[in-house]
Amino acid sequence: MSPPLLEASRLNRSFPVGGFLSHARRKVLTDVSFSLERGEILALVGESGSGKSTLARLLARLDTPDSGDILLSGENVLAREGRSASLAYRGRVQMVFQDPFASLNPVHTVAYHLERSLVRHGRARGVELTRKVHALLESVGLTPAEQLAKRYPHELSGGQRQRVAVARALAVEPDVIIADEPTSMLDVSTRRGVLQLLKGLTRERGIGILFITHDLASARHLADRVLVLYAGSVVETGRTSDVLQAPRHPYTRLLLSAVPDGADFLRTPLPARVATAPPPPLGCAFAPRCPHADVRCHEALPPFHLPAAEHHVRCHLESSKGVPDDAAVSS
Amino acid sequence: MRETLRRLLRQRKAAVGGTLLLGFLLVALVGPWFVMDPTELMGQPHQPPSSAHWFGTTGQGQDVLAQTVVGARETLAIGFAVGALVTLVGALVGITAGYLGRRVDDALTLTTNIFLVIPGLPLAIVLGAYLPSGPFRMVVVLTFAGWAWNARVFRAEALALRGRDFVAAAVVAGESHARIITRELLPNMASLVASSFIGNTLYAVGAQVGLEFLGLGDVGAVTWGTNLYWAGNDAALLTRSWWIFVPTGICIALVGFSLTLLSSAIDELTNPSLRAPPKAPKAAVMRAVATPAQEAAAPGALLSVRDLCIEYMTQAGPSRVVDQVSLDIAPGEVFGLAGESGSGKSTLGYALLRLLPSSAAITQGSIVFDGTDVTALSPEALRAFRWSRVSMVFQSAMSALNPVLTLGEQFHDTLAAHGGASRASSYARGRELLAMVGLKPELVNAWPHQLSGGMRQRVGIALALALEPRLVVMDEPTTALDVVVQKELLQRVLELKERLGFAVLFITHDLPLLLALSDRVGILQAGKLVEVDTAQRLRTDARHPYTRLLLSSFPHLGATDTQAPTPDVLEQAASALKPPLAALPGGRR
Ligand SMILES: Nc1ncnc2c1ncn2[C@@H]1O[C@H](COP(=O)(O)OP(=O)(O)OP(=O)(O)O)[C@@H](O)[C@H]1O
Ligand code: SF4
Ligand SMILES: [Mg+2]
Repeated sequence: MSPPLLEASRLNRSFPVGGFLSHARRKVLTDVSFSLERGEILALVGESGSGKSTLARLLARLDTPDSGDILLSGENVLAREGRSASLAYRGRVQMVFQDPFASLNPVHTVAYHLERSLVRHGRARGVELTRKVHALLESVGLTPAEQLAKRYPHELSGGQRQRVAVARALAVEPDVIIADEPTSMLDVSTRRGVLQLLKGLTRERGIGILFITHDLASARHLADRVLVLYAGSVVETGRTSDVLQAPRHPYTRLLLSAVPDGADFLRTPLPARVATAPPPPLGCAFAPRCPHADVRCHEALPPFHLPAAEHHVRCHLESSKGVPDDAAVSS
Repeated sequence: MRETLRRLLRQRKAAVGGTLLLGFLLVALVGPWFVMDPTELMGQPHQPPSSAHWFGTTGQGQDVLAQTVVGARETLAIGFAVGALVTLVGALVGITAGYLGRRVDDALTLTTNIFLVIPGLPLAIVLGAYLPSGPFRMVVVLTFAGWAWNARVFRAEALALRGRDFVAAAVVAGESHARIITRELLPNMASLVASSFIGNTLYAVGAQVGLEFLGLGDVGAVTWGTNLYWAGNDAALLTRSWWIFVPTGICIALVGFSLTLLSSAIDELTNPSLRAPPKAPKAAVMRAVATPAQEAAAPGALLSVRDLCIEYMTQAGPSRVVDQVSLDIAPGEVFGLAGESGSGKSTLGYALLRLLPSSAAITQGSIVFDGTDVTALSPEALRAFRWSRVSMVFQSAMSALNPVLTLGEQFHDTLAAHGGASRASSYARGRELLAMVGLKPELVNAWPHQLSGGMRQRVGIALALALEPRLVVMDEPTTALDVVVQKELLQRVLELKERLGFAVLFITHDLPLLLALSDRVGILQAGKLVEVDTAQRLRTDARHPYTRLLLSSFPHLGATDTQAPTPDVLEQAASALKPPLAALPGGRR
């Protein structure tokens, strides 16, 4: 079997906290592993501060993990390239940022942004350049392309800007796109268009997309698989239908119950407790809020269990139901 | 860029400063050919102005006019050269340090700081003694003494820009460091470069004149500084020969004035908040003309808004942001207001408390709250009305909380402003309110920054309820929060509403949320209320195409989800009802 398109293996990242001379560090990502296949959309969900953007920056090589490996088509890129990514890596892994009002340089035109990516990666040059820019704009639904190419970012709406950002990522003909909440800053009526665009890319070009979101409803519509992050650890992962229709981890259930959907969403109580203690140093990070927590949860980190095919859950509750399977993810 | 230049020219400060400076440049450039030799002894010493010597003669007998004109050349040349060099060196060092960060930054920042703490000018003068005398020495000395401060400014700017996503996006696109510095960062600092250059030139002229006046320059040269030096040496003050130093003094002052004007013009241009805001349309006058026959307020309504229009003054003229909105809110009702960014939701909410910014005005219509016409309240009546009858919870709780006061103090501020509660009773009430919104009462002694976003929003709600108002306007109070925190908070709000019986105007773009929360919902599009109905009915049979578009934009979690709307439905709805791009400064968040 060929290796997955992009694979992360036991990524760890911590940041220094406290002032000068202090060696204290805060762990933001702990042993995060996952894989992304060609033509697949993997949704990464979790609350604010759970480490979603940190993970995205590691994969886009804007930041380097403390430990762990990133494998692109089976090749360990960190071991080979070190801190700064090669042009070849940039040519295969692209990123779309959350805020389209910040990710385009206000002093450059739309055409400039696209041309730079094309030229830098040798995808077009000379007379071909303009034609390619127009083709790219058309492919993301920005028409008339000739006219839009000449505009500056402030002359575009949020949805249009985000499409330009997608077009820029597409310009280098990547295999992987990391999209960090690409629609959270957009108006609702333009969101769906951007999501459909991303979905089309996986279908037509076989691009693998890591779709970071806090909106589970979008994830359900877009993603093939879902990865749930809590406090920097993966707590549940599996096919979208399994994870979102039959959630097993108490945190996933909590998230789902809070999605504003349906007339009586405010009437159902939240399946969580009010945290009264900090997370136990050795046990499950969710224990202080978990309604099912028991002694085990405070003493030992739960292993991954595999209740169904491709469905991994990191919770002690599963130990009676399935086979512990830490090996399957960390391989 | 061209637009910026045009605006610069239109500005009066820039025009005056620029003209003055250009005049001096012209004099410095061609003037010396039209005057006498400034070093030759052309007449009697200490002669007042006459037809032979328009500005008189110096203590030695040279022509003062010639000295002033010729002096302009070297003074300005050195001034601009040092201005450019200091800006260049400072920008390069600062941007490199700020952008590359880590060890490069540490090293460069340390160097910069050393230069800042040692008295640069005296050191430079001592070092300058080893250089051959002349204009070159002055340039080196002044650049050496002046670059460090600039490097600091540019480093700060680079640090701020480095964190912006477009820099990260350029890195991901594979751009090199050099290119990111020169093509992505520098063009964004154009205004800083311009104003630094002007400021540095000002510094250079001033320092140069000062040094030369003290005799530390090249006393053989003809510059404004040496002119003053010789005037001092020749006892111009003692002999009351004012004409020797006044022309040079005026020239220096005028150059300084023009440079100051230019730099303040650039600041204003790049920082819109310094510009005088356009005046709001005259509310009272326009209301008198424009109020149509008013329908009576609905019986039993707590709040009745009729034909409300609100306009912002913008650069492009008045822009109507709320357009003939009429709505009623019953006591104890939750009324939801939905709309996209720029549709005027917040403006409408602020108007209910008359909290509009100075550039906005209610130009038409009425707001009647419980029998009181809010639009007609006097300032004192308004102060008593706000918060005690209608209060507000803001999108960003931090903007409503004072970061330097403990929560207890903020409760006291609010309570004391309406009826002079004692500090002890305010704190007691604060504890009670905090418990009510589900926070620990001990938090009265906490500072806002010690709270999470969700906790701050709870404090915001507690503050809004402090005076038991009958209506609370909530402007996107949960938009910045996670879904779990959002649900906890909303459940608490509904519970409190049941207990205390206040009505809520809830503003958000999240329609599914609004439908679950509200009794009735109004859909705002481009300032117009296009549909108002019960949440129940809107969910199943919304009539307006825009409402349907909004509804279909939210994917659902349940398996019984309707399919995505066909593109032509979307286009139809969108093109029929294009919301105008709101021309508000900072209208988008
Ligand atoms: N450079 C940094 N230095 C210190 N702490 C950091 C840094 N970057 C991120 N963090 C911290 O790491 C944690 C995770 O941040 P991250 O931005 O990855 O969260 P997120 O899941 O993307 O949240 P959101 O949904 O709000 O975007 C946060 O507590 C954040 O404060
Ligand atoms: S391991 Fe324990 S605390 Fe953690 S989620 Fe499972 S039951 Fe809850
Ligand atoms: Mg994030």
